[in-house]
Amino acid sequence: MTLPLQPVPCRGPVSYEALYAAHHAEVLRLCRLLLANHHDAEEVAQEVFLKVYQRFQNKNQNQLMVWKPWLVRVSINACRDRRRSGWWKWFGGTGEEYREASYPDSGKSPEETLLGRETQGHIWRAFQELSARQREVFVLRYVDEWPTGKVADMLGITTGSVKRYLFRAVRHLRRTLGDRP
Amino acid sequence: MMNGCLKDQTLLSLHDGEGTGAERTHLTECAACAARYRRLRGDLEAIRQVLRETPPPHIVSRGSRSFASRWLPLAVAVGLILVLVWGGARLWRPAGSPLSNEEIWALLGESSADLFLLNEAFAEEVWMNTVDAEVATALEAEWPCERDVESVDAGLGDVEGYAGSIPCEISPGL
Repeated sequence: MTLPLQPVPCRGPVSYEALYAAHHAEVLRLCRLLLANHHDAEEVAQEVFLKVYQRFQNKNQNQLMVWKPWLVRVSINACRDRRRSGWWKWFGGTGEEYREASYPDSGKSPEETLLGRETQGHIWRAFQELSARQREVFVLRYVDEWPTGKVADMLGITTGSVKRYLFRAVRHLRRTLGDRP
Repeated sequence: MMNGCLKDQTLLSLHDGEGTGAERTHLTECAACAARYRRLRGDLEAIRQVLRETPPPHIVSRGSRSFASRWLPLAVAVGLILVLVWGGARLWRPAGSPLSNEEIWALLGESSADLFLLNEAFAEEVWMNTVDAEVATALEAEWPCERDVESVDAGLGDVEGYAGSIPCEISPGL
């Protein structure tokens, strides 16, 4: 299902550059989480900001907007479109699989790290095992920290459905953590 | 007063700021549920931290994936389509479709007969031209010839200088 793409009139950054600077990282992270492929995420984020630019050009300059919810919707739609084109990757592109992650050195000692690399890898793999909808709901609710009602609005589903998706996603992800103190 | 401990779904609702007053009261009074709730919060925070702050594992090209496993489904599908198209063409042939084998052989037979007839007509025309030339040569050279050439076609009458019996050895066998 394609979500409505009408931006919400309200206040926001006054220039495209400011908009890009304010939201590009968030859009890229959202795309990366939903696609699990950094290159695809970068491409989709570029597509999203191309749409932003077009919207920005067509927009009445006196019309103020809250761009973030609109950006989230456009990003989710763009990620869905990218996932739908997966058949091409199957035949023409490269197959993909996970290998051991190599995280950048955060400067923390192993003792200071909250979770070990192995656990982080388990979490990522479990996250990728979620359905597309569960991933969307979980990311919007617990990573981007949108309220449940807002998540339902963005995804075009009911609040009850959001809770059900959340519960199943959390249950699956917590299994990967096992019994921790 | 609640009977029994809270379900996981209820704990998640409480974590999201929902839930009833009785459930919240139970959470403060039940040590087991309070511990489960703390663990849920910790798990969610850990997951959130991983997803927000760590990059996903590298995604690499799957070199071990064989060529056949990638292309075999497509090849099977294409083959199936070809078989279906061929079978469909065999079973259902609309008007104006290609001829059957019998019709093709009949057409070839007619064509061969026509070709032979054409060949005979062409040979006859050549023969006539040859005879005309020979007769003209014979007349010019006044070759001695006792033999009547009545057996030669009546077309000889058209030859210039011909007057009935011509001394010529020309025969159709020449």
